[in-house]
Amino acid sequence: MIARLRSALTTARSPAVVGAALGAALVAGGFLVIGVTWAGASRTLSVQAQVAFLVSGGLGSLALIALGTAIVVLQSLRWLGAAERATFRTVIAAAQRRERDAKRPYLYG
Amino acid sequence: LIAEEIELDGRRSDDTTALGGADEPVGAEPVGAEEQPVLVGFLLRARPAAVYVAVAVVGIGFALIAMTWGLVAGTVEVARQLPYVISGGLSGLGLVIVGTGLLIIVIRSRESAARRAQYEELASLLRSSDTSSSTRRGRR
Repeated sequence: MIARLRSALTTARSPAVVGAALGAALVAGGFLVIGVTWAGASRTLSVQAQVAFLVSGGLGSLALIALGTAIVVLQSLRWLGAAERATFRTVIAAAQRRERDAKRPYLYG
Repeated sequence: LIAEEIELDGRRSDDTTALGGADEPVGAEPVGAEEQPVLVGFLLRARPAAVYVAVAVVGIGFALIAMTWGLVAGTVEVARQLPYVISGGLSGLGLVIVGTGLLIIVIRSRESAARRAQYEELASLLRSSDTSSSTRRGRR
């Protein structure tokens, strides 16, 4: 249990997870801004005031959602790339070990 | 030989860090998906359910846009139409963006999982051929 918690904390501290969490927070913030904009726009029947809400809150929220999604996607792709490179390193390590063994003089020659 | 032996359990060793890319996310240990927390593991394991979730998010977004259109078309007052556009239209658009992002992650992680499986197969082949050649050498 403690080991699992410690592992989760270590993972949570990694920049990839922090970046993804930041992106997710931006997405959540974007949806929150949509809610605030809707509340502001529905309070008045003046189209001029509503358009102002639409431009500031509406476009701003969409920008936040797009930016947050892009950050989450990029961080996930970097994470996956790192996992692939780590797996490929095992292939390189196996090949290096094989080459080293091939160069070693025979013990029972 | 034992001292300089490289760990082959998927973790990086001192001997192989120089071979790794410099663009690696610092501190992001590229561990297997089975060691990840639930949400990250769900995405990295690339289960078909994750694809369905992403497609569902996109679908909900489009449904919301269609619902907004229905409500906006039901009134001729612009002042009553705009709140619908903001709540339904923008939320729908946001869900489509988020769902598309999820879809990219899920599809890419499926490809990545397949590639990692191939790498692991190649590494195990190299290891097994290494062991058999050592055994042959020992017999000589």
